[in-house]
Amino acid sequence: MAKQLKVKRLHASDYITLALFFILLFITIFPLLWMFLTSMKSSAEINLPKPTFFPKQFYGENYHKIFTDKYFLGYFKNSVIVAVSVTIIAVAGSMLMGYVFAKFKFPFKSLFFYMILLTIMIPSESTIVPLYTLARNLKLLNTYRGMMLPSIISSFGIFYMKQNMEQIPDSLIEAARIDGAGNLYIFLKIIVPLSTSAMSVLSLLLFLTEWSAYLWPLIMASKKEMFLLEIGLTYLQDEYIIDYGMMMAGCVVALVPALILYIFFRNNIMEGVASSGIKG
Amino acid sequence: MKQLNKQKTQNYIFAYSILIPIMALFTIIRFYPIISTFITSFYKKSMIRPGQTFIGLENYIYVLKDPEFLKAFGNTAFIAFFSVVLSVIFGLFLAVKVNGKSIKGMSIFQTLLFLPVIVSMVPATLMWQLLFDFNVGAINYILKAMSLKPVNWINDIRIVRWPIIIISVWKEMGYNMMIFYVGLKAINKELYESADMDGANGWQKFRYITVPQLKPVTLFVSVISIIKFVKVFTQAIVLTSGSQSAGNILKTAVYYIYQQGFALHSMGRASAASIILLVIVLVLTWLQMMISKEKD
Repeated sequence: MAKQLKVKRLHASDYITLALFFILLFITIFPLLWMFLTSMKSSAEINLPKPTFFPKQFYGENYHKIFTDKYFLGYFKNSVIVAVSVTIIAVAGSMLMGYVFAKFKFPFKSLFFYMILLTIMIPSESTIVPLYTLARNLKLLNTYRGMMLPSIISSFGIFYMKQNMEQIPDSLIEAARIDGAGNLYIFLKIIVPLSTSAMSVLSLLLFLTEWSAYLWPLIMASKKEMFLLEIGLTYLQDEYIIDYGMMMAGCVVALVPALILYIFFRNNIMEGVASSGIKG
Repeated sequence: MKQLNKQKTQNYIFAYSILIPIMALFTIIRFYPIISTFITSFYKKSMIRPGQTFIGLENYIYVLKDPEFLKAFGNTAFIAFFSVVLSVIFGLFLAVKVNGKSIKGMSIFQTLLFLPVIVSMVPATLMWQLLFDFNVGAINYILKAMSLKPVNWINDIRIVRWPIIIISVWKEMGYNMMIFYVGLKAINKELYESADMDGANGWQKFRYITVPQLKPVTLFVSVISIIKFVKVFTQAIVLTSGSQSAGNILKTAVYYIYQQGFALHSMGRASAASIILLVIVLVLTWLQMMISKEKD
């Protein structure tokens, strides 16, 4: 009797938590779905007093407007150039530094390493003023190099690569050295091939971070043709009326690169995000 | 012996030839800016005019007495508090559910729940702006359908903090779920097995095994989230600077720095506010490290 009662109660609470689970799942997915569906609706349909879920009629004009916008494709191009360059440079630097810190002994090694670790804690927002004046003095405003400037080195990347490369057995390196291999050769032929997994995790993470950067690109660019996508999207709003259809189409296009990466490298991204916790 | 020394020299040369240029970069884009921020915070200095005057702590006194600053930090604290509490609770709840075997195809749900983490903040905010729109937004439509009064979500400066919290929680929930999920996997299964033998129910197992076992992870997640939300900026400015907001920008701590530096051109005050933000983040980071140490 008592047992029966307990089983019953368990079921009731199970239903409640299950309902809550699906509510949270719905809240997670619905806005994205709504954005996608709205991007295919006409303004007239979006402004109906009773909103429609599926577009009554597919309205491709929003995407047409986006792709023929004077600046939009330029924003996209700028974001790709900056995010890809930053990723390549920062990953290469992290791997070289990771190698040096994992496999070499030299004076002041731990001092250098702790100096780098220390910078992980500095919020980038608190250094924008001097960085901006620095970029201005170097004539880097409205340039790709200016936008890339704060992200071309990654303290987290160096830390992450060091942790991973320490796992590579020293005997492999010793053997190559006996065969007369130099340090750079060992890096390219042994370390890099054995670090591809960590390399892809870090690349994905740095690309996604840079793709979503907002504050620094906002400060760096004053010319519309140099805006990155994140800044450009906010300029799709008109001063008086919002063309939500066109804006949602822009957002969908902006999400495509991250979404493609997520579809193909879901596990790498999850691992990277989980291990970057220390980055904050 | 000579061979060994030669190798050692070569290694030094290699290590330093990589280390020196990259440390030089670190000096330029990490160490110099933070030292410069600290020094500038004691000077009266303009962004657009040359020259500077030493004024001691005056910038700090100005900033700490500035009602705009107090408002900005108040907003930040409010948004950070609710975003952290909600995203940690929901994150833990989702992790427990995803980890349990009650529903088939859980990995698909997990993939979907994690999706907001990779959505960048501007599209996320604009997407929610449409949902919160006073006239055409789906949320007000639902309220009207339930014969409730539509809410002026974005235009009302007191209410707009809630949409910002919702956007923040939407984006953070899946991230926290992942960290908790990793933490749950690390809990010894025998604890649950022996609880099963003692006849414990689901809630009891959660309350007396999961919660205490996850305590370090929970503290860790909370501190990471607080650090993230202390720097809240993008969602607030994007949501409230558009045409729907009637110019009532919701100011946060980072917005205050941005405004002092780039709109009012006061480098000194911007630097003082930056240092205050830095100190807050450093204290929180120190807290996180203490917790991590305990965790190991």
